[in-house]
Amino acid sequence: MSISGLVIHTLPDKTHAVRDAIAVMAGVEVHATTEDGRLVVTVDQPDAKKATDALVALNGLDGVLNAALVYNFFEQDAGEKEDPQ
Amino acid sequence: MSVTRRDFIKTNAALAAATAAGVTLPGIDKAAEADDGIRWDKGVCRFCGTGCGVMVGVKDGRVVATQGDPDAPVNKGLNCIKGYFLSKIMYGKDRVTTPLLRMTDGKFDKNGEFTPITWDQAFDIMAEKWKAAIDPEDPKGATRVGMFGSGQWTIWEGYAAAKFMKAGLRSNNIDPNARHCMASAVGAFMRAFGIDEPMGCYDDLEHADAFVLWGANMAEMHPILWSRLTDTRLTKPGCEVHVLSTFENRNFELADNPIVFEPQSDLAILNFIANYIIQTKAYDEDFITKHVNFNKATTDIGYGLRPDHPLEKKAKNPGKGKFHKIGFDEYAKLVSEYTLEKASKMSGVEPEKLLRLAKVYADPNKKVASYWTMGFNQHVRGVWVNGLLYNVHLLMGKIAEPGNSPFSLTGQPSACGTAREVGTFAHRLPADLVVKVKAHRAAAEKIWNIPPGVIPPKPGYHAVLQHRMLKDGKLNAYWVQCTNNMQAAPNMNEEGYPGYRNPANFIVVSDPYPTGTAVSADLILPTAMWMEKEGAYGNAERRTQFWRQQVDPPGEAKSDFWQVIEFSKRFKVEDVWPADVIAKSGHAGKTLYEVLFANGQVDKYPLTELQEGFNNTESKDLGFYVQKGLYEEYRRFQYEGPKKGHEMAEFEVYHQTRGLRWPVMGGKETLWRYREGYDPHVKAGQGVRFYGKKDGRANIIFAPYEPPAESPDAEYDLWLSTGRILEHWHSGSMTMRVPELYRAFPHAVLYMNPLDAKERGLRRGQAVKVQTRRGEVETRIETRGRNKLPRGMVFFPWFDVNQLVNKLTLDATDPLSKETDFKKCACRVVAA
Amino acid sequence: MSDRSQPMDRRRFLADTARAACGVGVFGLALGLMAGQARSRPAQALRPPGAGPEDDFLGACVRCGLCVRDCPYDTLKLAALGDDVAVGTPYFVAREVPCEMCEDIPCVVACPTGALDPDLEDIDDSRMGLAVLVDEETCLNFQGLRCDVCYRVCPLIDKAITLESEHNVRTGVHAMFIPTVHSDACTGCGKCERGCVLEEAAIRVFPRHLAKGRQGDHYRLGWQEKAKRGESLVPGLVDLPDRLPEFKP
Repeated sequence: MSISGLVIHTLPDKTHAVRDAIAVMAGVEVHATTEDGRLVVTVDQPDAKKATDALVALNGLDGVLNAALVYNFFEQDAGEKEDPQ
Repeated sequence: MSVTRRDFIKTNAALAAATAAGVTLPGIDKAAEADDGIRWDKGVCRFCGTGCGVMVGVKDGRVVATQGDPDAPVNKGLNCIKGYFLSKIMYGKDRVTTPLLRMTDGKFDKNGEFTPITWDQAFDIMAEKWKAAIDPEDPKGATRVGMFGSGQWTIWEGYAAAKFMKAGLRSNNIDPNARHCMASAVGAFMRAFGIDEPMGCYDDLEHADAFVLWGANMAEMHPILWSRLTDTRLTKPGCEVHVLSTFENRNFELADNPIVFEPQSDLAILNFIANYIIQTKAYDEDFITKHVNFNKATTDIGYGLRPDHPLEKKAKNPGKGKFHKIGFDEYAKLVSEYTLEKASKMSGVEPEKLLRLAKVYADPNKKVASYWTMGFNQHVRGVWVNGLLYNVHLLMGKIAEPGNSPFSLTGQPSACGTAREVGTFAHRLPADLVVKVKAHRAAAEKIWNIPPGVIPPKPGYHAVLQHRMLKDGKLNAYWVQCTNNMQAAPNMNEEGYPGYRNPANFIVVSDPYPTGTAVSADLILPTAMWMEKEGAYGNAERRTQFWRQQVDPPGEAKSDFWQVIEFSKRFKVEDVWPADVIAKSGHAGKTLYEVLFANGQVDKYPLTELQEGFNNTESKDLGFYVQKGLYEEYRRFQYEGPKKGHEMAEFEVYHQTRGLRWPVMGGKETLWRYREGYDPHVKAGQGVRFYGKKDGRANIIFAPYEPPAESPDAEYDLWLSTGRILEHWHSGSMTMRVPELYRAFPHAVLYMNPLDAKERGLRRGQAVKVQTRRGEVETRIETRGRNKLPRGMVFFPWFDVNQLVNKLTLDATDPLSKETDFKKCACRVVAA
Repeated sequence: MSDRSQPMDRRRFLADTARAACGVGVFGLALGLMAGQARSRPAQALRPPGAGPEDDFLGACVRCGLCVRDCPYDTLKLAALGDDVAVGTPYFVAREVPCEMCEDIPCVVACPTGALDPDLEDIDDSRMGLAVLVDEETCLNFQGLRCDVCYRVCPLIDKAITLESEHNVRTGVHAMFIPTVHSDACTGCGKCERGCVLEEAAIRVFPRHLAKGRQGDHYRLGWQEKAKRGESLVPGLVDLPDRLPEFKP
């Protein structure tokens, strides 16, 4: 499991477009948007590779100036077996 | 992964990002904190003998947090750094969750790969191997089967195992790892007082005016007690701390009188103090006249090595523990040899320091508490040196009252409560009884409802002897529980490892983790640990503490006593007892399970007595409240056995208290034993009575200095000592699996004096080989840091499975206690 | 068991960040970033032993990487584009890999320009940074627990970090052991920050200019000045006796 928190800087006139583009990405959520075009986003992916792919995809979105990784939690899948569900 | 936990982490991620962006997320922080849903219940720390009370927090079937119990008398809410990480010790990624047998092509093969099997299959092969090693008609009992247990077993685990071995299989070959840690202390207690365990309690830490530490690095090994001692030193005017050790450890920071002495010379220092007390006529004449007998020990007693070792052949009285009554004058004459000059010369300590130390003991107005752990116990004259300290306290009458307290600190959480009290040693039975006394065996056989003659009279193989017998092929079916003895026992190259891998032997290891011991075995049994079972520990101050099962064990893991009890179902009495004994017993045709556990006593308490809301895996499997049954049967020994002084309260009382110090009588704990008013066994008008001895008198036993088994020489020119560090518990099987503790001290290092390093052309941090006559281990040199070594000595902690210090150590023991001297052998250090 | 780490390929992430910046047509921005980096003072990055004040160090360091190559513990790293440190210069992050304080100081020996002071012969004299106990609210010892890991891992234990004992008023019977850093001995090796068992370290090493306060010259601490001189700064002053009621036994 990999869960990251990011701050995404966008071109001010593209903020809403970026927001909509993120909305359709699996495992990515927008938690807040600021007036000056920054988004608070979490990325929840099953493993590190998928997480990296998602971050790269976020960076590649039209209108994104920068995606800054602020928080990352990573846990091996093996650990998950111990948890009852 | 539970949904709630994932959400929690995601909330944290969003919060972190929002904080970085300077944005507030309305409502989201509340979501993270709202209703944590944790159930808290009373527990006790898993690690050392201090016995800190903790609260254990459970959510969704998992221990998610712990806290120090703010109302626990020992620690009042505090913990050391190991206790801080208790919630993580059960969740190492490599928990063993199914029995694993070495197999090739579906069959047991000593050199096969570990393969998962069922419990049934595991007990099948164990029963086959055990039965092959047992001759029911052998008058000596079952000497080819054995068990090695633990001071980390819960009380009923030790009791069930000891009963299974001694009353079931007719074998005294059961010994605990406490043999490596407390046996010398026990030996001295029995010789001096006739009853085990300290007379004082932790309250002495506040009552004493002076503290003397004899080979106890309390600052690291009993961290919470150390903070109590430090507080008294800080807040009590005139309080002083004397620290004795063979190297400078963390205690020295607080020392008013720091003393680094030559290894083994503590024997001389203690005799000097006794001499000083007598020369200055400071002794308490009234006390020694009324309460003390004087004796001298048999000397030249060897080193507990194999009998063909040159040192054993040379010894006049190898292994002889007899002591002889003498008068005060003769005692005075014997110690008179140990003058200040002689003690100073032998120990390398400045005379002023020794004098200052002697004066503290000799001052009738100063209350002195003495503490010791492995420096005294892991000593080829461990019983003697323990006794020499009692001599000093007894001469002054400074004993068994608040603040005047010779106090043997235990290393393990239940070295007292389990290993010692329920009789898991090769020579013991529950409640201080011993196998070689007929009346004691008879008392045990009566309480256990087994026919006379089942318990063999000869003590079984002790820890070190077990490894020798495994190697020699005389011990063939062997079960290790709750301890990592391959890593912990001395001289693994020559004794332990060849013993385990001897093709004649079948080795079973029960452990939560694949330790070095487990992977050296043939069968690994997955074990429930700590809060995965209802348990009880007894700490160093005679405090017995209970806890309930908080969570279920993972996979197929089962507790140690479930394993023992289930295994007992595989034996009929006909498999293990002689025909004539069975004929007298009325037990013909029964299984050992029926005789030992479903015996009308252990199975007396129904499941309805279980606490609602908590699981109890073993009881639900067996159909009765097994912990209560085992405990209440054990308690009969305390009231019906031939020795008094060990009384405990009813089972339920302990679930309702934060532990009680025995003897518990008339609804009261006992803080100081042997003294009128404090101890219920001392009658009005007696003042002081050492009732463990028939005449009510304690023994002062003179013993001289005798040299260590191995000392540095031209070839191996350094003393090697091993021991623990604060961050890791023993062999590291739990703490090395906690990432934070691993990071705090990831690898063992060799502490060395910088000048010794320089002389050998070695630099700090350099890779080196430590070599002894028995093996070599690679490590790195540390010339700085927490331990400051004198010239000629190195200290090498043993927690690191990648640096097995016990490839180096010598299996020389105290010949009386059979406890290994891990503190003294000769080594050399060369560049790797 | 959970384990917090950052397994992502950081270089790839950063490279892609840079590419995205180019993609929106701000090529000049990347150049500007590099120029800015060359001048920037690192906020937190710690320099190898023997590095002088930051400006002098940046002037003398030729970004050859020899110190990094010769560091036996892989403590030292070369700053890459996007790191918070001038590109190509050596630094280390205490929480990841602290300095092991080698006796022979191989990084200094390797330095061809003297950016790492060749006169530094005793590693104890190095001043890579200064440890600061930044958070008393989370530090376990401040709550009375017996952690003191930072203290015991300190290579200059009892000099650079001491434990100052205080009475624990809450329990009444325990002492608290307060880890206290002494700037005259701390080399800033970072072993304490690395060892701190908290999720986020409560003790951290900062470049010394960030960690250390400075008093003005206009005020001196009287007791210190007196101790330094060994007597009062104005010797010979006298006091007259106080008039007290006379007691007759």
